[in-house]
Amino acid sequence: MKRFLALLAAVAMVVVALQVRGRLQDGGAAARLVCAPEVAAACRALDERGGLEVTVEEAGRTERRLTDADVDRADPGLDGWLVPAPWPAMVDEARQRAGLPPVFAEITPALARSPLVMALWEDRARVLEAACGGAVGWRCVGEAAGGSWAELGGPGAWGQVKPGHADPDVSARGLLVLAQAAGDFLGGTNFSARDLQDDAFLGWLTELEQAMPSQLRTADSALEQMVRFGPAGADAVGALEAEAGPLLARSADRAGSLMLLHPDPVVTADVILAPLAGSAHQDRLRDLVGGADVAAALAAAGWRVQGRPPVPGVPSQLVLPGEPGLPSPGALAALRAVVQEVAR
Amino acid sequence: MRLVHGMALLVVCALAAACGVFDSAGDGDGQERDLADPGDCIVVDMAVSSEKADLMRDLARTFNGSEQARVDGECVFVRPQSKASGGAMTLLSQGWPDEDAEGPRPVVWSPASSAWGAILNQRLADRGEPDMAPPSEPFMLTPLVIAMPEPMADALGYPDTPVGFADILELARSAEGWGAFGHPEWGPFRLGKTNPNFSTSGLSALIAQYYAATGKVGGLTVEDLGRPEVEAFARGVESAVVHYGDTTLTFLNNWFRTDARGTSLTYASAVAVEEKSVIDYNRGNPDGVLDLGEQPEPPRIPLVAVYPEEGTLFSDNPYIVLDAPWVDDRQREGARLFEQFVQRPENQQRVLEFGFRPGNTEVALAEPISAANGVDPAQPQTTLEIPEPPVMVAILDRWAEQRKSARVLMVIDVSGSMGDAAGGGTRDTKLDLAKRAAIEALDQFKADDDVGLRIFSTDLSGDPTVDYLDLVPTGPVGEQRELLASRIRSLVPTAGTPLYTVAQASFNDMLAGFDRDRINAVVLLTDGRNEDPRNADLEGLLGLLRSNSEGQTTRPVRIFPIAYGSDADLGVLRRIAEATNARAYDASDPATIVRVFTEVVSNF
Repeated sequence: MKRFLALLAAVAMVVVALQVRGRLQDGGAAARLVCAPEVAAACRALDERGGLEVTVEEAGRTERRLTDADVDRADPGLDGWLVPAPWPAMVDEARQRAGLPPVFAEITPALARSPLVMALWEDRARVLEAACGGAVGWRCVGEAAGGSWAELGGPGAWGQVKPGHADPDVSARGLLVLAQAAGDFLGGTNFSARDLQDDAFLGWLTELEQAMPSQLRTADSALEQMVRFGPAGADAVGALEAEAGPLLARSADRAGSLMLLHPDPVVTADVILAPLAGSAHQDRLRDLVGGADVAAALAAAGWRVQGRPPVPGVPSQLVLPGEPGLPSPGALAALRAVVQEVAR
Repeated sequence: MRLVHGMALLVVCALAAACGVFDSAGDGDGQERDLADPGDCIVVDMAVSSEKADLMRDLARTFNGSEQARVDGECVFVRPQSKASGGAMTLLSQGWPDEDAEGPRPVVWSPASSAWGAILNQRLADRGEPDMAPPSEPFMLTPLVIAMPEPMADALGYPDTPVGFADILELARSAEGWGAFGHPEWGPFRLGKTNPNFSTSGLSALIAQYYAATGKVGGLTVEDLGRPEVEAFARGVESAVVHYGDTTLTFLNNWFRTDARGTSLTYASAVAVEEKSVIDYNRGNPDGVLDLGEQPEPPRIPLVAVYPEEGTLFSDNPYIVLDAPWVDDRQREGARLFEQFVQRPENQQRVLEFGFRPGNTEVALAEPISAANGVDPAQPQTTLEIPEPPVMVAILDRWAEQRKSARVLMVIDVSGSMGDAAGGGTRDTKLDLAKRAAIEALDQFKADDDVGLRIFSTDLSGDPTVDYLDLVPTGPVGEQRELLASRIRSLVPTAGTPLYTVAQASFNDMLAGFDRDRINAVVLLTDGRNEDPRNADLEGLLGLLRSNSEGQTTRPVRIFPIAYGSDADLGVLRRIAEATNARAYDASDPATIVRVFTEVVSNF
């Protein structure tokens, strides 16, 4: 009897799953595209064409919804995700660890790229260079963070060294900046989750995170906040070149003494489309995001797009490596958890 | 004990909320006629802090009816009303209970500082309720600075010698005063502070004070506040306070008026204000509002904005679309459209013209943010961290204990006209409402404040020579709160109004018993004008008040008159207040008397 009931339940589940999938594959409904804020410009361009439902949402929030979603039973609310890599891979890896099937079909190659930059006030950069004995990187900033500028040889009026970046718990670029920072400390971005438990690393990361003004973490853009408040707001902020270049160009009067560095190790944010497995809109979404409109919109927003010139403000002297220079999705997820812990 | 003071704070806030907390710019809460009728549009009501109310109304007028103000073909009508930040926070924490009294529930709240949003969320969380103020972007900024008359800043060596909150607070506690800087003629170092329950400058300055006391620039904890040396520091600073103000405008207006008389250096040495206020003052417009035909005239002695060495806090003017149950999606969308409108460069230029730093980074920091107006666009160089919300709540609770004690004589007019109907659909007389307000105000004093009660009218007790009676002598309010209340309840209207006589006598009596460890003041409530032919010498009265209120050896007794009802002589009462470097309050609408009493008592 028990076996019969179990079989009945299994049949019922399959029927429900087929119905849900049938709805997903209903080609009559508009395709739903979720975009990370970093690529909102591309999504606005697509939205203007019509025939799409576009939602802009921080990558971390989309990731949370999808990681635990039972996509066979419940509609996850999207047909595709336009986001910097490797967030879709992080979702599927987390699902795999939880014994759940992957949610994404084949992910596209990079549609556009942007290296990470560090924005620094010129006078503070000079003091840091002297204190760190060379080019300024995240290891150096983390070691100085929370200490006074006077201890580094700068004026006491500058107060404490204040680094900043977007919240890595929700922001795609925030997590990438943290990966680059950790890579600088650990000697490369091919670190593992185990490396993150090193005491020296944890101590350094704690200093870096706790010295960050809390209003930067919650701001839409830590870099814009830095420009808005001037040197009082932050001393060194990590961001995407695609965000920083145009912003500094637009804000020349307020950001004239800000400089952009491409710190080592070079890390790039690569924009990808991750279509939902089983969605009837996969091909359409691939066609749309691979089109000229999206390429033009991304290039105009400051992304590096093959065959298109950079917009004013985007420094082009850095030649990008072939790969984004990121750790594995699992190591990134572990880094995010560690940062949440030390930032408390 | 802390609980008691926490409760007291809540009572103050609740009282403030219940009566429509006032507008720090003094331009009256509410809306103007052309923003009153939204027609059939989607209405986006806004509660904005008073210093930017004119600016927001200006922008709303341009926005309403424009092509940008449309959601799916429907028009959007933005309706800003002025609400002091602390008062709006209290109202929101209570669900904005009375729309008739307080105006419509806001879709958007823009307090002067995002700290108020954090305090609101903390108050809600303490009751297990969800956040109402999500993280929001600032659309204009102004840093907290220490405003000082230029010769005083020069005497401290600023800007070549950095000056911090710690230096200012140490000076305020010093017995030597300006003598230590070669200027004994300026007397003691006088510090002006505003009430942190209402004023953003007051809240920011109080936070900075605690940082100075702990030597920290971030990470302030509740435990820090309780350390004995920190408590002693706080009490020392409070003891140097001239008086508290509900807004910084009280200080700026008094400074401006004393400047005209050449006595500004002995009124106050330093007041924590927003940078914008220094610009306004130096442009000859201390309240930041130019009335029709008003010609601003710069002061003889300008103010200098001292950017504190340890860093400072910004009033960051967040644009908060509330997560409140009364906000619907269309209003939310309309609110976002107005936010985008406000952020446009041409509108951010208007923000700049008002003396704020634009939130849109595309707009340069230019005139009037310049040395010519006493400010420096390259400053500040660093900031103090906004403490965690529970710490801010604890700071406010402690201030209620540590603030300078007061010695106040409440002088209430019981002339015959106080028996007139108050109007507004009630059967109450003006005296009934005044009695209620006075009794409620007693709760705002702390236990060791000294409060006394005097009434005045001609022919009191049937004796033509008696113009006033002391019903309760000045003493600790904690011991005689009930006595005061019962005496107030029993007041009845009698005859005429010997205003000048009672003002002079009350001033003299308070001066005779002057206590330098307290704020010495008279609260004078009257509904009429002087009706005493035996004493009609206003100039004589003003001369006496001024002569005792100026100069570095002064023992300041301040008269805070309340002009109650439409027949009160507000002009004369203003002159009486100004002669003692205080401020007169307008309660010409009797229904506002509870709110006005709250404003008055926030000076103590």
